Amino acid sequence: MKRRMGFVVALTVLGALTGCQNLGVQPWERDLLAKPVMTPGAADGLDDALDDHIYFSKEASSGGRGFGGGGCGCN
Amino acid sequence: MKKTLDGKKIGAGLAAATCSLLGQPALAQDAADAWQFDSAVLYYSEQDRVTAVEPVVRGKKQFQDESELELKLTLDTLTGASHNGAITSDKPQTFTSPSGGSTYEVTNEVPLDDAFKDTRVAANVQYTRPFSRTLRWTGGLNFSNEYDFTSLGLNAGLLWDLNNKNTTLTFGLAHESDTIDPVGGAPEGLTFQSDEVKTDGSEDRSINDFLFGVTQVINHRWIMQFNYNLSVSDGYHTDPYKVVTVVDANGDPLEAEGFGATNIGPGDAQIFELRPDSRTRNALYWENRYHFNRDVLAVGYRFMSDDWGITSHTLDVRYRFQFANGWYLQPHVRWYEQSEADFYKESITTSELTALQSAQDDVSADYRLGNLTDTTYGFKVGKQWANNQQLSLRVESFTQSGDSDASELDALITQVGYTFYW
Repeated sequence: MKRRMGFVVALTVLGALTGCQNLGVQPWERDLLAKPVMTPGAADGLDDALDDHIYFSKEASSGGRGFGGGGCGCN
Repeated sequence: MKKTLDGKKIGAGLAAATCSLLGQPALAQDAADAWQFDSAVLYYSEQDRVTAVEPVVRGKKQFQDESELELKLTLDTLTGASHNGAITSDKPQTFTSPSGGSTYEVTNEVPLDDAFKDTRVAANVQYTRPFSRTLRWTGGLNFSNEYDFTSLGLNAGLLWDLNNKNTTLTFGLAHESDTIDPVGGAPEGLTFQSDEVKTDGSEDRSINDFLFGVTQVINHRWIMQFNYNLSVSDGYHTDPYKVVTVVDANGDPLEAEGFGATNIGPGDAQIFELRPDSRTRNALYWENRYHFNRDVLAVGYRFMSDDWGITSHTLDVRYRFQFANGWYLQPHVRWYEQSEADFYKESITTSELTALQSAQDDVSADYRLGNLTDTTYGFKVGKQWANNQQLSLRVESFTQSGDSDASELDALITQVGYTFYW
């Protein structure tokens, strides 16, 4: 069962990557994408890191955007 | 957590180390060759509970070989009160302070431990360097210290550009080693707080993280990111300052002396919580950024589930109204929902306590492990100048709501940010 799941995941990733070849832009079409506001993780400067710290210490979830980590003591 | 951090030495040492790195005069003044500094001060204030002031400074520099160095220093000052885990009752309840030096009594209110005070210092270094036209490696170190907690982490990753740089694959590994040194010692789980059965010395926890990400350009207006993050944590996960109330059939707090434990006052049947010694989390994250003619919409969604029985959904939406003169206004809405951990209980009965103690099973009344729905809404307003300097102000309202009185929380998030080149 696990092997079959692995196979399905591998196939999906491969399919997605092949599909991705049809997506995208030429280098000269990157004017909008080159802006910091269009860069995931960098668009809002330090906000993401500060938010992750707040919510990490108030909720039972972490990670996803980056590493989950163990973070702080946070009582 | 009880005393102010006597860590001036650490703080000063780190600051000196960072300053000696950052303090070198910039060779050129133009932005391409200068350090980019992002700085911010966050003021986080909960109604009747915790207040945090958090200044952060991050320096980034791109070198001619396209490598990039990033240094970050964070200071975090916490004061106020924090929920101690007990129920809210119209009958009096008595608790000991974490250091064991004193007791306090609470009636008709969410029981808070008001000696909450701490200072955290965190430093991060990250270096990224290309080793071919399409491959980059990255490595980093993290250090974080507070009065009762020290954390050391390192990470390494590979970034692989494909399809004419329209697809980027990210593979990352991280290891973190935490040392927890609770004030007054680490309590023995499931024993009565009034007995103060604690062990001296510190507790440990280690976390290993794996991250796989795909960033994909869809068209010249739309970029998408998809991440999978696995996090495996081993060691001490218990909150040493949290208790669980033992109640009678009416839901009223019982007396410790009824169980042969030390009597310190009315309603003192409070046991120390106990959590599993491992945790495995899986998180999926999906982010979309879409550029309209001027404005930008960003939508993020995270799904997380762990082997403690917690499942959560997070939705984060930002819309940036961009104005012609460099000003922008960015409303932000965040919605979060989680289900409770298998071992979460608001309180326990005598028979539940007996069963827990004989099986040494886990139990916690920490509302952060219970059912929760959180909402955040607010805005950010900013101005960017022609020399790329940027000033911003963020104001947000954060509300938590769950099954217990302790989970009802309102907080204000205020942040001032300034970006400059030097």
